[in-house]
Amino acid sequence: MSDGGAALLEFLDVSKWYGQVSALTDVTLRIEAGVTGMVGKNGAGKSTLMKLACGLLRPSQGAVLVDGRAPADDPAARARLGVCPDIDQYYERLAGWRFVSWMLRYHGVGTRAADARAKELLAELGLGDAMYRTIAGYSKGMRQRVKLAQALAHDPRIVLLDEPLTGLDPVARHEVGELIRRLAAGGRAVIVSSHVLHELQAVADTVVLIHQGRLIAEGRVQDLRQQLEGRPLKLRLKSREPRALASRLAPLDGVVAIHLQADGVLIETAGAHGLHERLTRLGAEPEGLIDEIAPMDDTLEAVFGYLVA
Amino acid sequence: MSWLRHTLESARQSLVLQARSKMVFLLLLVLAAFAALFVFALPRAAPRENRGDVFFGLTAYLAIVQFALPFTLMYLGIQAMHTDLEDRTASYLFVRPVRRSSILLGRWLATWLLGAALVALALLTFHLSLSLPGHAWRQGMRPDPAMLGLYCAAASLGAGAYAATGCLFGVWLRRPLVAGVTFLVGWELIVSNLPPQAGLRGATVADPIRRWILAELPADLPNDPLKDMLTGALERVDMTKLTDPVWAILRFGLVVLVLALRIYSRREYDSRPRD
Repeated sequence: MSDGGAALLEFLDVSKWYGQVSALTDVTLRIEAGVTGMVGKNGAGKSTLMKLACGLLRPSQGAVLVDGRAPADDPAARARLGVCPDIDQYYERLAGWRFVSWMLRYHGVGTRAADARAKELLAELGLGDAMYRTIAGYSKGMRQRVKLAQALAHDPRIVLLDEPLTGLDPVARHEVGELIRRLAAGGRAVIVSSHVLHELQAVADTVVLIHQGRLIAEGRVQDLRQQLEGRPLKLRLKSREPRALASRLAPLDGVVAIHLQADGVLIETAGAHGLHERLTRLGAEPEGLIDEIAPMDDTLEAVFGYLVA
Repeated sequence: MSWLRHTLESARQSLVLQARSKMVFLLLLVLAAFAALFVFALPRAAPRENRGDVFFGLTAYLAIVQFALPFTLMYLGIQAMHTDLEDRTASYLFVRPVRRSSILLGRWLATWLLGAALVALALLTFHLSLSLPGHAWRQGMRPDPAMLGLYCAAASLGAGAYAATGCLFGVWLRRPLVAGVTFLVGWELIVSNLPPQAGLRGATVADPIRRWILAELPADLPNDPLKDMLTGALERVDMTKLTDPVWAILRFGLVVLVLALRIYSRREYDSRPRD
């Protein structure tokens, strides 16, 4: 995220206050092409960050730049953005395709082209003939697709998706996940905020963790987990002979706790150098004591939990 | 160019949305009922000596220009600006490469056009209803395009100013409808009847409209209670010292519109639900 590539979106020492309440404090962040997941509890400052990025809010201090321009003041900066806000409101009496077409008209697209593009995109998003009905009659999933379509119709370079998976069924979630990956593969920066952390982890290249208005970490999930020194890494070793395996693991350097389970053991490690290699060698021995090694707490959820604990 | 294009697009979209609103449907129903009352019901009950031209002048001014016009335009203006701020759909527009001034001006334009069209339709319907051959109110009433045009022009000009006021309240206040009603039954009613020496009458729409209509009414109208009423409201007023009524309405509308633009353009928009 900050390896020297071209930043599409930058937060430079940004703070935001609502009167006496500080919503965001000294956030400096560079967003480049790829999928960036934004994680934080309710009220952590995610939505404020999103609104600053799309120009709905102005920073109290610092600067937010989209390709070097301030989105709150410069329409040209907002032209580069596709925003899927965290609301479930639309012009309810309009048909889905018309809503998307209307929004597209503000990007300088002619009526016919806007209509055609809106229909094409909604069909691609699986809305089918429902796009011709009024939005008031749509299910939650259909409404979410319309919201996605209005964010993507003008082919933006930066896509801000605030809770895009909310209300979608598992199949639709998978499809949206695929869509996010495709968008990023096209060289766009896609910023996704979601409470569904495991799904966010599946699509995000990097994550930004926000807590109480501060940026507490950013990077790849696995890298962040590695940096959490002092937090024992939990590994689950699947085995047909848990007791025998436990006795072999006990003397190993770095193993700080062993919990027996019916089909294996759960160990806590202090991250000692070479432990993973020793476990791999153990698994390769003829006795075949280890069938499978699975890290238990290098998930986004676990990392976030450790960081904010 | 894009500013103008966006303004027109905003006006078009706003017109479509407002034309589909229940309020407009309701207003058209009221208008139809109003017309039916004068075409079918009242002629039977009305005495033959009633003068249609007097009745038209009084009703057009009191019921339509003084009452229906401000309330309709205020409501439409507030609805155009406040609804999507309140339900948060405005955030779809604010993240587009469009200046907020375009959005507001487009909506004001749409409100003005729609409101003026509705009021003009009401005046036309009423005028034609009273002019029907054999109608009990026909005495003294002939189809009079000049008279109809005067009220339509006054209403159209007032519509722009009231629409701007509705837009201002819509972008500025949390409870714009309450403020709108207070403005119409409080400020407009009281200030437009203050002594002219107070110098506040120009801060209303009602007073310049009243002066304009009075100035434009034919001088030879015999026994016209409307003229008497308007003259009564303006007696002891040196009309030459007052601003031209058309200019006064334009100035009021312009000031209000600039204020609305300033508030709308500079305000931060937080799409969280309001308390």
